[in-house]
Amino acid sequence: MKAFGATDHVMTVVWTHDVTPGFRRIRLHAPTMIDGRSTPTASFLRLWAPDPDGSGKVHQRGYTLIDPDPKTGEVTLDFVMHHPAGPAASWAAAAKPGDTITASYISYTKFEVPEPDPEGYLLIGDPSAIPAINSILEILPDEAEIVVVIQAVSPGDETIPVTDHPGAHVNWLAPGNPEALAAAIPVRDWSNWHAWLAGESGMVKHIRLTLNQQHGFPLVDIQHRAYWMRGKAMRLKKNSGKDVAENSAVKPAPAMPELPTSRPPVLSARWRSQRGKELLASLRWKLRVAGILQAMVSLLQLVPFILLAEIGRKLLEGQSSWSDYRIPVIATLVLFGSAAGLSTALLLWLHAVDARFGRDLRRSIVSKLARLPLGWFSDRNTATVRQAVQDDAGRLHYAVTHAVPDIVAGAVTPLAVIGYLFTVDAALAGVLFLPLLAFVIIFSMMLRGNGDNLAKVAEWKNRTQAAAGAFAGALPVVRVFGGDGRQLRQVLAGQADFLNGWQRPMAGRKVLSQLAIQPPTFTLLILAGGIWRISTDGMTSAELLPFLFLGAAFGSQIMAVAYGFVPWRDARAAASRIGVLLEETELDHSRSIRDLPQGRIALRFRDVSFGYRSRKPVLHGITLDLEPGTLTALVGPSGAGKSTLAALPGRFHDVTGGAILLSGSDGEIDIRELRPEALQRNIGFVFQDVRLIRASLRENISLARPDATIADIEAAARAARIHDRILSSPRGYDSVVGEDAHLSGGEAQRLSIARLLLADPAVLILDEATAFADPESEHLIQEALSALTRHRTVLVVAHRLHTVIHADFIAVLEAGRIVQRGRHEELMTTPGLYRKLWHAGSENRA
Amino acid sequence: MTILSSSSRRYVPVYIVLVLFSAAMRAMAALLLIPLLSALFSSGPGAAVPWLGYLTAVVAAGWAAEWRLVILAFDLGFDAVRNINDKLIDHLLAVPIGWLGARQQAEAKTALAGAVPELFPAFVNLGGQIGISIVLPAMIGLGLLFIAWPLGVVALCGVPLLLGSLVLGARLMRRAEADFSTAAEEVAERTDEFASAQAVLRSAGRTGLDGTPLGAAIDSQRHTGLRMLWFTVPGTLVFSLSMQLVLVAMIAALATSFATGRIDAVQSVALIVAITRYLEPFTVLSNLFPALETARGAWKRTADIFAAPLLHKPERDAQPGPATIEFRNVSFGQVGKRILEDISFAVEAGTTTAIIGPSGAGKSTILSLVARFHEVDAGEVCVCGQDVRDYLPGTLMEQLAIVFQNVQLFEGSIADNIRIAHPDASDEQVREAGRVAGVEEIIERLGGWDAAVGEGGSNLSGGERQRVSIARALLKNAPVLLLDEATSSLDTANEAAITAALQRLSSHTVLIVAHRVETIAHADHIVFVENGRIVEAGPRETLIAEGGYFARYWGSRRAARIWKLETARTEPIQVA
Repeated sequence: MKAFGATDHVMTVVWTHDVTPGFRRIRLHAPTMIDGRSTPTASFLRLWAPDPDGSGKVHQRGYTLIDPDPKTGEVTLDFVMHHPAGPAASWAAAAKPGDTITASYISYTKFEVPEPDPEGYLLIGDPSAIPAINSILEILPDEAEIVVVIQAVSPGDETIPVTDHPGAHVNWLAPGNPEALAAAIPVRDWSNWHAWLAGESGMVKHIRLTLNQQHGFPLVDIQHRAYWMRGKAMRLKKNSGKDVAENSAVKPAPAMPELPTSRPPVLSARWRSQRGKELLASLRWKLRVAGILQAMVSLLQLVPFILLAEIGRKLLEGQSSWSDYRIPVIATLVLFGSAAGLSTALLLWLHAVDARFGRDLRRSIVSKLARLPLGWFSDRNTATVRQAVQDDAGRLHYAVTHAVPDIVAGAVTPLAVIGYLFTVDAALAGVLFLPLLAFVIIFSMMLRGNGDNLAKVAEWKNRTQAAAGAFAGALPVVRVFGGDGRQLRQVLAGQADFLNGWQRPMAGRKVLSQLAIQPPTFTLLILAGGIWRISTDGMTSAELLPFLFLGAAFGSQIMAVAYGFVPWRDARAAASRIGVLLEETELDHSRSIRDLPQGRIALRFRDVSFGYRSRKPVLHGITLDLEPGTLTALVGPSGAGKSTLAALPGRFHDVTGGAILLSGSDGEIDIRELRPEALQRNIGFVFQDVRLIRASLRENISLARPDATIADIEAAARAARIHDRILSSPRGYDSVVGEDAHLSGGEAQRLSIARLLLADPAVLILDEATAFADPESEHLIQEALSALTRHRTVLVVAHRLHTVIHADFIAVLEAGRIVQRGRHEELMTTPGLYRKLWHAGSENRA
Repeated sequence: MTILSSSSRRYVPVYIVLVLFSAAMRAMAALLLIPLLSALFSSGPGAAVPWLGYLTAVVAAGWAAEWRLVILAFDLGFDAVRNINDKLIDHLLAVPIGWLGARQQAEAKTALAGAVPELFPAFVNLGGQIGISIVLPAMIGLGLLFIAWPLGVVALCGVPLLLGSLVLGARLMRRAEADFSTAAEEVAERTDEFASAQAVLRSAGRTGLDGTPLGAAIDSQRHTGLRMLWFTVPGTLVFSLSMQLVLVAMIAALATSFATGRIDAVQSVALIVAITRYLEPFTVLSNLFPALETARGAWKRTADIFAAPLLHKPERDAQPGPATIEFRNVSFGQVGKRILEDISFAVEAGTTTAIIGPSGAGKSTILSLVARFHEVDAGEVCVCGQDVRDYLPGTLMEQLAIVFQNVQLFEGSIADNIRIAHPDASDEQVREAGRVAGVEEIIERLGGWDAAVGEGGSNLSGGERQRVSIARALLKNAPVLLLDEATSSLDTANEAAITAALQRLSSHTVLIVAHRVETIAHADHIVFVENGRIVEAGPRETLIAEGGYFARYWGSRRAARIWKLETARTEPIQVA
């Protein structure tokens, strides 16, 4: 009997190849396994390797799937050859084309690429982990920083090839114990690194502990797999009836023993993933109190049933005067009432707690946003903000108001019931466990066929999602060119067939498991057991009553425990995502205290370099001077870094090398030393994509100068050629954007130009501003721009070369470097990129 | 019952009978407690044993019925989801193309992908449970009428009261959630705005929250959260209070029956047990509500799509004549807003007409009506001499090559995306069309004709997608070309592709929404649109000579073309 009854697949050797003497690569044909389902990185199968002594026993080992090809049904496995060889290595050593071996497939243990990108990756393992390490190295981006530590098991292991990666430092260790490996992990600040470790089970446990306790890695930031067990390889046998999975990857880790600390931990290291816990920690005592109150409510709700049984007992005893019943009847009503009252109070209090918590949480998210560099606000990150504020905060709302009471009520009620019934009659109370036992047995029988099927459910889900997305996305095309959605119909029918084929045979058992724990079943058992107990004088008839009142619903109560846990788990994940957002790196304003120099302002780039990630610079050594009142154009092919460079003076990101200076008549200043408001006010941007806020048109124009007079605002609007358009809106300057003022792209552009005219920045940066959104008002935008650029220091990212031929200075950018500089006339007379770009442009216009 | 296929529909009565029978068996099991306990308490265990036998038989019969019920529910559930999926696809293939916005497409995806995993469990697991739980207390009440009628009356009155309070509670909760999510939506929108307008807000020094719309929205959400309690608290209390009310009434009825000697003490005790059995199904129902809400959401998504209007299909297909387009007094509006008013114009076969006008004038809408993406409100649109509504959809589309602004690509290779216009085309024809439309440049960038375009064409820019669409039009070579020139993604390669396409198809009938001077120069006729009306129309040269709307527009476009950016310099430039 195999665990979870995973299906066996037969694999046939196609070819073998000895990469090194200690490393054999085998291509296998396995059409039933490699059938088109996805094989995530570092997912592995369980190979049933025959015992080398020929006894017919088989041993289970985990192997990473490499290069699966659904078209041919082939897959590669890499075998690390050891001396003395284990069963799998022995098989591999003797394998020749045509040989077969069986395997079970597990698809749900894969390498999860963490979100958001970690600072770096620490990969640790022994030679058995190398195939997985290789497949991980293949998918990690080139700019990722990776530290690989591999401890050899036998001499010569060092020759096993490890995939090349530009960012990887590979350290090989001589064979040794886990302590030696632990000692070889570099001591450094591992903040926000992600660890992956695999190999021998004992080593994995030890290293996981070391990473957690000595290097500060939170457990969620360590992925670990145990592939084999030292000294136990021969004990795991198929059909032995004791099939403990050798792979502990999917099992929860055992409780952690304290590790003798040989080195002090790096206390300053911080992981983003931990911030979520801190968020919930502020609620901890309140949730504990809520749990205690809910436990009281649950108990209060049970007591009336006990009193009912008491009333029944008195009735049976023939007491018939009202005074005998008065106290239990009144107590029953009072208890019912107070349980309802207390429960309402708890609900009210939790909602109040939640409302305050939610508000504080949203305020802290928003204040965080105001401190992030402008460059952070990409579309993707803006979507993250929305998720944090709406979806994730909503999940926390549910967790705070409902999850804890649900979990407590689900646990306390059945426990109290069974505890009380045990005091009434232990034997009969014991009978109540029979249906539960039946339920567990039937349920585990149902789970048996599920190993492969659970993976397939996910597989079908992905497939239907993809097919439905493809169909819905292509609908307009399908409708124009004809189509019948046949492919989607097939996929959906396939999914239904799969579910039917899987679930239908189990339907009977499923009903049985449900019927087993239903009230009629319990009632029948209680009566049968009760009659037997009474007839053997084990209990009195009156003692049967509490069982009838409380015991019948026991089965459904105990099932309720599970309901609260899912939202609680979701809430923790949500808290952790919000935590990650709150841990984003902020713009450093510690030196930003100075004011703008006097006089006309020049913008100077001094040997500026910049990269979004430290290992992948986008701009190299840019030196460029923009004299006051001049127009400088940045040109170059797409991807040259033009827009990145143009955004730096606004501190969308801070430079990673060099400096950007603003100089006036009384000196110059690094933009990082300028007060944030002064910087934003004096460096104006015009983008193609204009953001207006939902406020009146007047407010949108006067945003940067709330004290501007109406005359100033109108003058700016006139110069920006938007005044007439504003007057044609229902409420003129008081019309609200998005409500009664609906501006086209070009109109919004002109409004933003009016805003800048009023703000009067010394330096102006135009990006994409000449690739207009609205051809009908192109000339109006052009007139507005002409008004705006007058007498300012202007940097323009030019996409249409002919608009900047009058620029005072043109810098030609290629791959992050300035490759040419000069005026249009000069550049046209020298061979180079500028002339090429210019000719390419005019050819297309011809 | 259209969610089931005809072959399954005849099992519905069986299903209902099984629900009723299962409930009846459970009711019997509850009522049998009364004689059983009476026998047990008054005569001892021996007297109760026969009753225990009956009880066992009834429980076993109930089990058998419920077993059969679940198996049948499986069959019906599968039939239902299959049928719903097929009908959803059929429906989506028959709605007006104009109905398919980005939101509708996303909803269609969710509905299609969610039907099996979300609706199926609901059909299989919820239906029977809910049915049994509703019928069961009524049946127990009926039985009680014969044993102690006051108790039976209270029980029967309690059924509508308790079911009503369950529904009312759920409504109040839903109402509270709706209010709360409106407030949450406002906060999310304001936060979006706050995030995307950061540059502007910072230059204004407005990075705090106090006194801003976002700060107000966050505070208001807190207040909504508290105000929501006015619905949440009654929502949770109304049911538990009703339960207690019914319980007290039943105990009172029991006490009355006992006091008047209708039942003895032993029967009273047995009846108390029966009362707990009677109340239990209501608790089950209230526990099923979250699952029911999920199923309701899934069902609503499906129903929303079925609610979309269908295009009217003619009985006979019309025969297309020479390639002309004609609008006769066409008016069209959407969501209560008039977009086009009394539009009349004609495009002769083999000529090119350009539609010109300010943004928002309704230019693209005119093109979409030619392709019958929407139905007109008044007047008629004729293509090739016939009203578009008289064609079967396929016949109309055969007459048209369409290049619209928002080009939809489907997941697959670029070659597949071009070939869809003419599935029998050879590789050479596909590549030739791609070459003329400037797709080769994209091929080079993505690394081959087989390169994937990504989900919805996400690997391509807007301009590049339009070039693929131009290649489709060239490959299709239909008599009529509808072209909506992109505004936002006009790059030089795109401009070249449009020019090449217009040259290649110069003998075809072309209706084009044009912005660029070069494109407009191709047009024989001009239709100038403003605010949904035609304000000027005629041959291009005539209109330029007349000096009206178009002439002014033409002048400003030509001026914009030669504009250069400058700054008035006061100091000599210094070359670094």
